[in-house]
Amino acid sequence: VNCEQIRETLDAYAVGAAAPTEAKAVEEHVAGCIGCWDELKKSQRAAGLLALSSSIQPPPPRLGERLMTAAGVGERRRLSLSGLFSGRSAGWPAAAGAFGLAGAAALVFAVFLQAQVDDLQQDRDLLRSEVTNQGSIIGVATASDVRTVSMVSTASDTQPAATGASEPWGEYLWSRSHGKGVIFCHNLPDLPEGEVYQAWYATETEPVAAGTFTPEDGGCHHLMQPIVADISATGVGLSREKSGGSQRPTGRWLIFAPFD
Amino acid sequence: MTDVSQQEAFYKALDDEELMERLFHRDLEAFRALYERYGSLVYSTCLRIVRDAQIAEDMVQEIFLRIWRKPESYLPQRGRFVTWLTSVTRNRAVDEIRSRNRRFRHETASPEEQEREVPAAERMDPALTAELSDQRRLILAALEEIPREQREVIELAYFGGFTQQEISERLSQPLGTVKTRIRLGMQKLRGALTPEFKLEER
Repeated sequence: VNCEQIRETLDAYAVGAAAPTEAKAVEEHVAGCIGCWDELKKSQRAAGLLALSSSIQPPPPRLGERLMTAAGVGERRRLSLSGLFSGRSAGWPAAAGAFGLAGAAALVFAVFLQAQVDDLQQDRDLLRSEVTNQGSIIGVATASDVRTVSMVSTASDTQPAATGASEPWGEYLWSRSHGKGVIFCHNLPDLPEGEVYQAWYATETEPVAAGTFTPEDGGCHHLMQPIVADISATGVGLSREKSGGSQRPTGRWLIFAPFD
Repeated sequence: MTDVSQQEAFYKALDDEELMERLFHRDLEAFRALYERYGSLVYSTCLRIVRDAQIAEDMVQEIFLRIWRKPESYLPQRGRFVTWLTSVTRNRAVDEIRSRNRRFRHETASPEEQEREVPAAERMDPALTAELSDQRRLILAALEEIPREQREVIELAYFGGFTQQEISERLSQPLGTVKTRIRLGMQKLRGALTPEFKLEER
């Protein structure tokens, strides 16, 4: 299927009118074609305007309360917030009422349109997220509560740890106040085309993926993708995987650090 | 300022993506802020599609709880949160009507019907209506420029959940005609997303 054929279907896909076979063809094509992907995003944003053409009506106030209760169940509330939260939950309907129906509608428009405008400047956004990542990394590394563990090669675990220049090694920096972790690594072997390094949190059960990267000159500074709160990590490791990453590590840890 | 209003102001100042990131750390206040921002958009879209206030309410709860439990289902690198949320909402609502008996499937409202059912809420407050209407006028104007037969097929697809083939059968029009109408109509809608909207940026 070529780009021209796909572009004829993009609009139908964006409004949900494509037949299943057409939809599949679009998805497969845009996964590998940045030009058509970009066109699809434009169509999808235009389709989003249709939602705004409906009259905006606020949901009943009880729904907000129900939702917050359902979300809060089973959550360990942080001490600093628990007082505020229980103080506020009774005030929800009143706050929603004071906010007003028209206010709710106006706000939805304002934020939606702002997002659309931002979306038009996609490149700027990508750049911004890169800057945010770099900022997060610096934030963690310079945090007053930063903790560091050494990640060592597991290839030679029957021998005394070699400190030779060619041995891969790394450090995992973590800050509770930032809620983020970063891997700095060194001497990673070059990868063939089609392979990446993937970071993982080890857990009591299966490792949890935390993002992929390609090293530059064997070094890396990788901001770990956040881990969901109800899993507690027992360590952090790197493995070699096919591009795009894997569901589970396919080989052994290249470097690894257990958490105490 | 009380602690509560300071906290509220803090969360209001965060953008959608920042709020989403906080969900990974189980921040209930961030979740509340997201709901305050988008609860009415999600609810209105569901209501327009399923035409039943109780079902729409349940779906809003389901959609938001899913976001709370699986924030990773939104991938920031694939676009803005609100675009994703709109599409998740529409798809979820359409799944709902598809799974129900087809006799519950409805026509999308005619513009006259919409005119009648719309702005009751917005008419209540002229000052806010003014702010709202400037922006909304652009969208409605763009939609109005789309010829009725093109708009009809687009709305049948988006709000009615029909495929091109189903629309063609429903309207007794050749499939090719339906496809062309969708493309032409969407071209005009895309036009609404260019320069004038940039002028709206503060």
